[in-house]
Amino acid sequence: MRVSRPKLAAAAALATPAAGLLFPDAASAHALVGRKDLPVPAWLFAWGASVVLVISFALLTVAWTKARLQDEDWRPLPRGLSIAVLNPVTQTLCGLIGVGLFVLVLYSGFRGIEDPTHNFSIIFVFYTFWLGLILPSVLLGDVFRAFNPWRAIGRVISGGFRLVAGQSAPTPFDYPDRLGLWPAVFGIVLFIWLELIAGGGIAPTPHKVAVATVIYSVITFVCMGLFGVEEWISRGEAFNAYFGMFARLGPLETRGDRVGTRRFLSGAPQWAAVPGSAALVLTSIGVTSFDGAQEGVWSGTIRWTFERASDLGLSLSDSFRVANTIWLLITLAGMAGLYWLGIKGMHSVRGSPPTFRLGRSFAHTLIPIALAYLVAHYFSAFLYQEQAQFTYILSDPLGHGSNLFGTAGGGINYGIVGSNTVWYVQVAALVIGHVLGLTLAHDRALATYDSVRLASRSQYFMLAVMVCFTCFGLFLLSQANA
Amino acid sequence: MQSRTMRIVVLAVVIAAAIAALIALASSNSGKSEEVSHGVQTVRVDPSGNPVGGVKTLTYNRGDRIELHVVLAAPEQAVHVHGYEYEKPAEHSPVVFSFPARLDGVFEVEVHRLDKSEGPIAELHVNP
Repeated sequence: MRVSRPKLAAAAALATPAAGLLFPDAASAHALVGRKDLPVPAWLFAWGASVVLVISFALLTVAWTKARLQDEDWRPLPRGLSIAVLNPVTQTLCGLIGVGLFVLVLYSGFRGIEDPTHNFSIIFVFYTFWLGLILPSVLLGDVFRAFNPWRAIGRVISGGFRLVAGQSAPTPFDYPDRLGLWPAVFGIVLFIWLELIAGGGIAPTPHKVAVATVIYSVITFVCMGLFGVEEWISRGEAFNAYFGMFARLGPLETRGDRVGTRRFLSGAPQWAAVPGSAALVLTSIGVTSFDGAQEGVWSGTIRWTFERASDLGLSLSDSFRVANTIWLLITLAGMAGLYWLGIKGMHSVRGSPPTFRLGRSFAHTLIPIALAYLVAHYFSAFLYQEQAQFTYILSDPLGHGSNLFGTAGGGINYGIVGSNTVWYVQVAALVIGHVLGLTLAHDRALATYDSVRLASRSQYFMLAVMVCFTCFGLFLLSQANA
Repeated sequence: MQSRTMRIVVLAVVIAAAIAALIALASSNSGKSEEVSHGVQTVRVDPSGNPVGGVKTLTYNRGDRIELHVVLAAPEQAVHVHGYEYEKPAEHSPVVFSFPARLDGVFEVEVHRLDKSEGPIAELHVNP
């Protein structure tokens, strides 16, 4: 998403007679960021795609023959470190920071200026939080859990209950195992809908974001009350589940009161066993693709759908919402369909588990690809918006002209990275994500099939799926994209 | 299924991906004009604040001089070049910009209308 000032373009367009002009134009829809990436040049795209193909086949031939990543050899780190990280003071402090930022989102959303580029709530929620927590999750583990404001508030309430009633708060329901990560899947889709579609052709207003935050908080508190704080946070709470997914790639994890390490990537296979895992990771790939395609590859078809919807008598912003929602769902369905085809193919190999189980047990192999998509699509925008976050947004979070830390006069230096750097980072991210994905898939296949031969054979299909995902990612970058 | 058949299936998918790649190459080359703009470029804006003939893409190489004349049919509030963050009042036509292309990337040129709405009137593509 790119944010710019509140756009009243849609309203102004009402006055224009020609249907073509009515469509909230790509550029005006949400020109959040002053500088957009140039499409990756054709030669780099071709090289990237070729490298992907060559690496894929090379990996098949030199691959190892015994599964190595299936056992999570988690080992605790020295106790002193655990105490330093997990003591009550640190936990309270992290919780307070999380709650403080949460309150600031609500306050700036309700009380701040309606200009999205100058309001803390928009820049913080859609950049610093949503994009900024991904790499720390991979490198440091499930850090969001420590700062999660809903968890912090939930723990205080249940702690208070214990103090007053002398017993733990009852949880009326056990979290149904079959529900797994599905609530998080819906949460993430709705979050993206708010970011890219809800505004009806303009960036979501800070007020809308604050209202959405209130609604989501109410749902979260109710569910924590029904299923228990930690239960809901670990599985149902969308952002914890989402960042937790990326945390499974990395080497650090906290268990009980100990911080420990494991082999890089070895945390991922266990994650896949949870229902909804495939849906969550495919959703991540799908929504990132949609954001890239919305104003690029899909723009023509979205516009066509928009015109049909407005022919039906819908208002301009509703037509925009309908058209984009349809194409978001088509994108998600396409991702799921591609994965399902690969699983179907794998299923044809002798000795395969049922399709359904197979689909779930390979879900984690897509996490590196989801991560690569995120890096490729948001790397530059994140660099720009964080400059805003730590200059004028920091000193003037409400946009009312305050200058708390003397940085209100700062701005975004769009020259911070050149287009060449952006292109290489984008292509490198996709290629590396592809290799890590194949590594995980090959390893899982060795654990799933009786012989190395069958395992390799099953991987022809997974390889084809991943080549498609990676080349599609490259393709999106080579087109005009947002 | 025979392993032979499977190999063929996989090969087919890979070839399909390669073809898709080629199509992408072709379309990205033909889709937009790679021709670099020289001299003064004029963008006309109609009375309702929309660009005449749609949003034009102007391509430059880094280091070129961008000379842009925005001819307005009616007074507007301002014209804004994103990224470079040049903003000039637009009570009088034409609004003239002349600056070196020191940043590469894609930059929107936007009109801020009197009714506080905004809309793109041109897009600057600066190649590295």
